[in-house]
Amino acid sequence: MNMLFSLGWRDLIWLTTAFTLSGAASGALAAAVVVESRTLLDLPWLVICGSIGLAMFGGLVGTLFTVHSAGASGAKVNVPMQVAADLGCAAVLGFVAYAVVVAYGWEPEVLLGSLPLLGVAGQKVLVPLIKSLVTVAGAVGNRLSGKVGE
Amino acid sequence: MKIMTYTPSIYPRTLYLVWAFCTLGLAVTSPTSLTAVLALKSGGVGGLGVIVFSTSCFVLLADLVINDLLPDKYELQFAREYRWLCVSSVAIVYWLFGTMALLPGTSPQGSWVLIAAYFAIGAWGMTFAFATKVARYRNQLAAHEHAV
Repeated sequence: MNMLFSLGWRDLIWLTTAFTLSGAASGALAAAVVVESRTLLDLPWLVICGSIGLAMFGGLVGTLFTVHSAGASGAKVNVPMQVAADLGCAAVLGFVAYAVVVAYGWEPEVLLGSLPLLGVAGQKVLVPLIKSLVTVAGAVGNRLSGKVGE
Repeated sequence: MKIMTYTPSIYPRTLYLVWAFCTLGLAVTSPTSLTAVLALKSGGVGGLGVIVFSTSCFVLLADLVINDLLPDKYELQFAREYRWLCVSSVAIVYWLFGTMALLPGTSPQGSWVLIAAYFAIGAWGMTFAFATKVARYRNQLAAHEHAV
């Protein structure tokens, strides 16, 4: 019943890099709160790093969703690039979540609870948004440069 | 080029599950345990975390019993397909509780060993889920290409 899987050294290297990025940022959050003995909202820069790290942890699950659907359909996915894109989206959303929580003065738990979910949702929210913006910008650019209708 | 072969068995998952059920059992039976304290103090987020954690644990248990231990004629397709999601959900909740426990005044004094264990078991679970899922994807892709 066991399945036989194979992973190369390159896989292990990028996998380790991804987890190190996420872990180091989360570690910064932990160190900030423990060493300084202050609340999350008092420590902007380190907490921003920690927020991004926690969101990245969720972003990796977003990558797993992509890999899962690609496995069923047989679509090819460049896994390291997908990891990089999802970590990037998660990082942006982690930063935005921190800004929103600070702006509204919510409890730190709200920030912590939302981060992994935001990370998972990163590719579903940011990537379509960026693609839409690029499409709109391209259409506007074409119109302005007079390419449409020629 | 396959340099390293990784063969996950039911044993790593069993250990992971035993640890998760110990956490869950302590939270339910002992109101002073770290998980119970965190779930109570963190309000809705903690409650949601406990629900996700419990659901994932029971799905993983069903997966272990039906798909791994019982004869092959018994199968729980959903649990096998989404095993990676349950393992990574448990890992995320561990990290969530670990980070919450670091908030000043949240966790009981002297619980730093458990907090470190939360982070360690969470990181291990996520690594396990990721490595096995990506490797399985590579196998599925190879099978698709072979079929074409």
